[in-house]
Amino acid sequence: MVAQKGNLGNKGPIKLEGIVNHSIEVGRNRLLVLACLFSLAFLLAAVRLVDVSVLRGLDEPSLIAESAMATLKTGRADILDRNGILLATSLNVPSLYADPKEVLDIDVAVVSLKTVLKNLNRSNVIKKLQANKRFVWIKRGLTPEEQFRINALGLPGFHFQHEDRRFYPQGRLGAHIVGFSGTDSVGLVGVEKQFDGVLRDGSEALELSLDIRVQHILREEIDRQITTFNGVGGAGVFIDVNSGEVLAMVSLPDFDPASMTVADSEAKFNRATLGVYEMGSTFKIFNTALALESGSATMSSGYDATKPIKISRYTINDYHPKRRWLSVPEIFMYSSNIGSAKMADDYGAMAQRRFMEKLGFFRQLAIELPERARPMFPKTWRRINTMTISYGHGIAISPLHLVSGVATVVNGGVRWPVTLLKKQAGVLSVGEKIISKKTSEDMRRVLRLVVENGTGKKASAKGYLVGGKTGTAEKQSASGGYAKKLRLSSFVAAFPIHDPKYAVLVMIDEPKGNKSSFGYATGGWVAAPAVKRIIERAAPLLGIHPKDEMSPKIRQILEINLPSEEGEKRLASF
Amino acid sequence: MLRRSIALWVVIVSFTGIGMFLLKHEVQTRKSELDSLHERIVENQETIRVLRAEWSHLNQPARIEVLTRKHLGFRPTESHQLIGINEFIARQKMDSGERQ
Repeated sequence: MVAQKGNLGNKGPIKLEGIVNHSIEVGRNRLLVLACLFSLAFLLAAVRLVDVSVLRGLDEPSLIAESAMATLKTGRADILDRNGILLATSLNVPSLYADPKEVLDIDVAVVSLKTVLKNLNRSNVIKKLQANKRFVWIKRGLTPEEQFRINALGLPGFHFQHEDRRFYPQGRLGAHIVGFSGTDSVGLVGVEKQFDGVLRDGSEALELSLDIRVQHILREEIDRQITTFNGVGGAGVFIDVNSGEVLAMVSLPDFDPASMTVADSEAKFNRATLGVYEMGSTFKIFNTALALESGSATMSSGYDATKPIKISRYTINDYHPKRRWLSVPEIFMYSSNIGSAKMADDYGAMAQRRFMEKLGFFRQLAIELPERARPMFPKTWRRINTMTISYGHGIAISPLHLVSGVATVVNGGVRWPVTLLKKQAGVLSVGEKIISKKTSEDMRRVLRLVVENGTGKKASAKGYLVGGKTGTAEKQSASGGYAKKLRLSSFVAAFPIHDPKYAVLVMIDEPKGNKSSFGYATGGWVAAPAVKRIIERAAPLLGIHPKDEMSPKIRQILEINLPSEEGEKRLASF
Repeated sequence: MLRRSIALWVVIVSFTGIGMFLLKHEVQTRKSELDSLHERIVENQETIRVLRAEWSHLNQPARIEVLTRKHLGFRPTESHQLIGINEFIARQKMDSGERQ
């Protein structure tokens, strides 16, 4: 090194030093640039770090929204009535099981378990605990209290397992509509089946149009009539005529969903939607509406009801024969079969068929239940069919069909699809105009007439302006032909009839007359009083204000001109 | 100079380390607190469901009806027990008119 330095010094060190200096200078400069670049990069990183951790922190929410973790997962969504009353719910229920290998003293365990579970079968449990297994059920579905007390016993070898179970807190009330779901949470009947998919993955409760209070009233009153008149069953429907929402629907006998497995098929059968019946005289509502709508008759026209009609091998006769000319309102009021058949003959089979079709009497209803009836009607529509259908024989529909049709006739003529779901505010539904407003108003008048002066006087709930029609149909016996003694007595009503809000149907299957009804088992004696009580009880709950039935304003709306009793004078004008 | 800056860095690093540890500990405590809160929320929700079912069961209209009849002597409202506000005013006027 030293020698070299000497050498360099000899050959001219200044130049050499200049070169070295230059190289060092260049190196230093490069280093400086690099250092600058690096520190700039680090500075940027630092600035960004401060920016992210300190400055940006202000925009961040101080609490992190947490949802999924803190919500309870249940097997099935709840079902509610229109007021939010629980109709079906899933609860996490503890069940008691044992691991026999871990149980120390079987006798002691059973004795202490018996102090909590009184109904425990002693020998059965001992047998289970002696079995050579690692898992035996002791009792499924404990109450929280039972679980607490068993836990407090501190028995080794006994454990709890939680399972989802479906509960129906309202029991029998609405059982046919709500239906039930079986093990593994599969809907088997009713709304539970219809909305199985929605209920299974939705945590949002399903809101039905039912009103459990009205449901109770309807069930209780129909039950009372069945008991009083020794009937075999009954059905009832209560709907909002301006929206098609079903507020209550009853079929008796009914069942308790909690003990579904022991219920018989008769009890499980939903008469209101799955049963089809020849409804009898309540059909005169549609007959009269069609006659007025088609123009083949007016409120002041009339028909000769003096003699029974003989057509082919049938005879059409009246229950309450007047044996004279009857005006259209009178035919309706006295429920004259002869007059009705003649009215039908005037507008003809084609018009009748088309009208029934428009009312939906040939199709299954669009109701949200799996149990829906297919109506029965003649394939070939002869003159005799037209005549018998005018008073409700020869066509079989479900009670819900009938109420839906009556709602259409009285509400101004619009057919709303009947529904079991609560209408949400702001959701428009589409109705179909079937009859004119004028015809609908005339129908309100004649329906009121039946309750004021005709066969339905017992349905008059004072102040609520009931209008309705009786129906007493003879049931077809198993051997064919009609059985005189087996009847289907019904009453269908709308109220308040000057501006209808709700329609009610009560139908009693095979009632027998008794002393209180002077032996009668007709719609007017059996079903009409139930309708009266139902309306009296339900109307205040639904906010229907009682009116003065004699006020001039209402009289004017419901005014009707009846011909005088001596028909001869009026004959000329017919 | 170099020695000083190294010392400074050591101090900074150890402070951040300790800070980090404390923060992590705090977060863990909070997390377990949150978990137990979640558990309690779910437990309470379940209790609420049971109570709601029981409430609905006890409120069966048939049961309420029996109870009110037995203990309160109530019966369904009849139409003559209800009057509208207009009618009420009219009646009051009539009453005061009679008194004068």
